[in-house]
Amino acid sequence: MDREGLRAEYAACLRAAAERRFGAARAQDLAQTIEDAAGWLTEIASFPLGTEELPAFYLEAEP
Amino acid sequence: MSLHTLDAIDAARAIREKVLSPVDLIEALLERIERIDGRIQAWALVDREGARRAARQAADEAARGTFRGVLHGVPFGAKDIFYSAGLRTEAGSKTMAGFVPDYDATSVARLKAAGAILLGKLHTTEFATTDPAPTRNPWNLVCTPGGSSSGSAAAVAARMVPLAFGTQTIGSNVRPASYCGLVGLKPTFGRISTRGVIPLSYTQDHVGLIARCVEDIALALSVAAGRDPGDASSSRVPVGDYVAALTRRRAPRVGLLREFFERATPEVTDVTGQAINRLARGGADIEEAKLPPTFRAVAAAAYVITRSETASVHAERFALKADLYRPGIRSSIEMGMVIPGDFYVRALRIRRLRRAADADHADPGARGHGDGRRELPAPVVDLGAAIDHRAVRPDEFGFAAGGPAHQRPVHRGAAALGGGVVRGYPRPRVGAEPLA
Repeated sequence: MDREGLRAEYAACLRAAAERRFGAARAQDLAQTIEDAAGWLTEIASFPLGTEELPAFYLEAEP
Repeated sequence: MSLHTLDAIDAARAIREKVLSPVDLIEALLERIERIDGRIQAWALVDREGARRAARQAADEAARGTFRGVLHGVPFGAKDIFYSAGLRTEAGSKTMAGFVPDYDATSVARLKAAGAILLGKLHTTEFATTDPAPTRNPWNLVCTPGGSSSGSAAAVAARMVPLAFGTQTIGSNVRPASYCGLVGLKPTFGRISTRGVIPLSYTQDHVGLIARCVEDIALALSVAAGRDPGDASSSRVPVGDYVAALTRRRAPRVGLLREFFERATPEVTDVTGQAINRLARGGADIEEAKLPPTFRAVAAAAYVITRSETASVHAERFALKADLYRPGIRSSIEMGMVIPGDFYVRALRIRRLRRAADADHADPGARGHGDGRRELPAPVVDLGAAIDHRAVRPDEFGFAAGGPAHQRPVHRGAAALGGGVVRGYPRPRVGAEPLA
């Protein structure tokens, strides 16, 4: 899927989630925010991350 | 010289040499606040009696030759998301109305322990996000001071206090420092403890400093920085002598990001070019630089992380008081509630890769980016533009990965801020005074 298609799909998903959680009227209020967030999700999804990556989310404290 | 124009380092020196009384300094600043803050609205709360009491004590101690530390008798302000024992801390939000913490944020406590005097609390956008503070830019009252550390920058610029704490999650310390013609520093993540600072984004919040000269930033950083057992994310890296480091001169390497000038006004392009030329004549090594291809993804990751963590920070309060939140922060929280978790984790991974890449290229003290400063001048009166995403700077996002960001003024623009080049480099000794 091209980036614009991806962005539209993410916007639809976010809109549906917002409608479920906050109601249709509030989701409509959030239209611009949803468009912004869909753009961020597209950037993040398009970023190549290695499948072998092992992120160091846990760091042990120094003794 | 009028006492209210003293920078922190000069005031500290004068107090130590017993040629300045902390009482006289506090009174001069309180008089200044009384005279002009009605127009600027930088202060959410001025602790007149507490500051006077502390100044009298500092003066008595100085008379006996006792000095608590390098900031003995020097006033400072703190953004109204910093806990301050016995003083209202409301974060610019109705949801926090009347809240009075019973302890000081570690950063505030450290400055007090070094002898500094908390003059009061400074207006912030609501919870340090987008809903504006009432504060105006002292250089031109129809302009925003920028945000979210709006009051911190405006108060320092207006000579109501020499030094203030701000915070930065994405751009909230360097942005208002830029709009108000000040020096701003967002240090490396963890350099200054965030304990007692109302969070916005647990993994991206930084305590920052705003002052009128680099020396004041160095002095305050040397006091505020350091490991805090109360903040697990605070750094164990030893605190350096940042003031002494200023005297160890070596030619800096400066990366020039020309692509950001494409959106700059001609005036900004011109004065930034002049600054770059002055740096080059002074021996700086100027190099053309390009933003990494990952820049847009890192920026997107910073927003997704912030929204997701803001939703978590506010979950309980929002469930009870959603209607008391203003529109910007409310939308941010709600969006954070519906962003999928796998994207939050992916954003963390992207930020981690960027942080590792920054570390690979780090050359502390010798590297900087000359960008278009503000691509836009401070927006005119729409205070809703306190955080103007059209005016994104690379350091706001590029260093959202935890690296330091530093703002230094080179110019006061004609278009939005009243005209005339009044700021020098590196330390403007002579300059116009707003609302003199």
